[in-house]
Amino acid sequence: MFDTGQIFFNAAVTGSLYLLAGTGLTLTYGLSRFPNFAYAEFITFGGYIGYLFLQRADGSLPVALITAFFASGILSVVSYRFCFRPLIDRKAALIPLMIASIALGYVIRYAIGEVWSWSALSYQPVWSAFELGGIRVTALWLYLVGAALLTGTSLHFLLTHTKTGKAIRAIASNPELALVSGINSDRVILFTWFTGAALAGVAGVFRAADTQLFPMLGWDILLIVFAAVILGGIGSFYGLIAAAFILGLVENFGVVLLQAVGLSTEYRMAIAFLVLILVLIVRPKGLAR
Amino acid sequence: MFNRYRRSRWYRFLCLLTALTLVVSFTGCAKKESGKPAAEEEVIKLGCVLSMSGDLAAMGKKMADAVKLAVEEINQAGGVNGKQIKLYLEDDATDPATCLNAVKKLVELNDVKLIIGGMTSGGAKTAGPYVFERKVLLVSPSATSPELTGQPWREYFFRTCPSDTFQGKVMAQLAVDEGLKKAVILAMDNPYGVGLGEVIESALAGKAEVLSVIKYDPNKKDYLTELTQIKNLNPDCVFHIGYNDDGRVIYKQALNLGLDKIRWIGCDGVYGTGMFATQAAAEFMAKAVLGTRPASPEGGKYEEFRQAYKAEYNSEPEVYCDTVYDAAQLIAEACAKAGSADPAKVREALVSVGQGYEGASGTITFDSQGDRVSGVYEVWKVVKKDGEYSFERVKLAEAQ
Repeated sequence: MFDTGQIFFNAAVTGSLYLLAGTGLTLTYGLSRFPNFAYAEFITFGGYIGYLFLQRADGSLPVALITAFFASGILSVVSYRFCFRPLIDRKAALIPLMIASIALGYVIRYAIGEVWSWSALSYQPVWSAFELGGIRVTALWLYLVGAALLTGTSLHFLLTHTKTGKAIRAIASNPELALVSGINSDRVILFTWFTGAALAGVAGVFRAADTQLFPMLGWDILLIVFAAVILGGIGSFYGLIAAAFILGLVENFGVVLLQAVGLSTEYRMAIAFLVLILVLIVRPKGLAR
Repeated sequence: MFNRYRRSRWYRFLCLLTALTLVVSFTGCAKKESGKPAAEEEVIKLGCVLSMSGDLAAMGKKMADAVKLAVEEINQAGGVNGKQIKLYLEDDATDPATCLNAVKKLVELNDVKLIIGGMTSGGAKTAGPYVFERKVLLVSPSATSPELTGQPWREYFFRTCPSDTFQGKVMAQLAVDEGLKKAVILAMDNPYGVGLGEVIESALAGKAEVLSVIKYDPNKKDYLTELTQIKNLNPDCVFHIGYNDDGRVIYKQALNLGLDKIRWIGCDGVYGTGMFATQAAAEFMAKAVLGTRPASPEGGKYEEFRQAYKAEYNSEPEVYCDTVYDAAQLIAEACAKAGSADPAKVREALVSVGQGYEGASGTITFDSQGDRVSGVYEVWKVVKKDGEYSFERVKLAEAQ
């Protein structure tokens, strides 16, 4: 006995969040070829920047979203320039880059904890809830789903119809060839790092608005975001869109299942990862490939 | 060949010499320490492990203040057996493993044998077997899980808070009084949540139907789907056992889902002004939540304690400030009765001191294993006045 409409909508909300948070992760992997764990902190940082505007009840969500967008984007570009670029120039392999990203994440996380304290904070505005065709929604959830749809369509347009987008795909499929054909790969990489992390920052604001804000916010969802990225086929944006919503659905139906058999809903992650493993057995490179 | 042999012998000699020197210097140290027991006995060491950080930090800090107040009062009155009490405060970060580490640190590094702590039931459960084995006295002011009753390591573990068995009965009675028939129990998956949930379930037997027991991860901080499930089950009341941090998210999301139309019955974990940090959670509580918490009796010793606390810290004592104050006072009194700070003797004395002891938290009588035999609870609600939220007492209820 369950309300299918509401669960599908909840899955869309969860999936939208994973999509926003995972976009940068998958795109930068396509270009730089290492999983960037500091994305957790790009998410968290966005949430805290949003707090600057939303700590009062009359705070404006759009202002918070836009500021978080730029703040996380700039943080990512700075971290690329001063942390990852020097390592890449020295031909660092995947593992050192990955460990460096974990280390950078720790630095940012603990800096956030020192500045804003370790106790949980809350955004003050209250988003009114209403019934929409038998489904209970809030304005915030609609914004979140809207933001994900907007991201999906504009990135699709960007990747297929613009020079930058084509350059991103070119570098991802063959970096040397892209360089030879005169693509300024440096600029394209910086652009991708900025946009990806900026979207993660937006995800952070939505996550904090829906739950609450604490320095582990990004880290707590990073694993499942990674799962979405891998399920979609790492590096593939279209795969991620499908994977984010599949995981959203699995997680939400998983809770129904767990509750029905009387287990703690803590295991919902286990169900999501079980699905991930099953899919990877059939399609080892993810959905998109 | 010969040379190398000689050299290796020479090295071995050097190594042995170094090792010997080290051993000698270490035994020297040990001798020195055991050589001055007089200095050790000048104070009575009282350890205290509470949450200075983590989910219960707000509560823990106020409780630490209450302990400091008790120690100060005892020392000003001349101490115990002519000795001053020295307080060692440690943080458990509201985490069972950290709690055990803090207790170990106190016992092994600071040589503390009398400890107030086990802020949470999980913490008490982790540290309990250790203190039993080391014969160290542990008195918890706030570990309320019924699971702790009947544990094999209970000999050195007491608690000055009543077990949740009593609180669960009071919570269940609230639903029965309102004539509610279909209940869902939403409990955090730890000894406190599960333990209290089980008590409620058995107290409701025959009086109301429990549609479902939902256990959730307190660290996940997103409960939309659990709450959607509750909505679909269509109960007329929800029992919620959680803490402030997860409670804020649950109430905020429950308000979004329109679950404020049904009766919610909360517990001591969701009591406290910390809940009002989230506007939406405060609004939800004002609309739907009734709750219980261990209450301090009105007047008498509690009033004395409250005045002293207010004078010292310029704020009202909150939940478990009185039980932690009593824990410190009881340990001191037991030390005085035993005429010693030896934990085995203090333990014996504590059993007899804790018979009808008039404390700030009411009359404390321990049963054979160190649990209180009754509990007084307040039924609270949240009221909104001129845009400000506050907790208000509905009534007092006693359970045995």
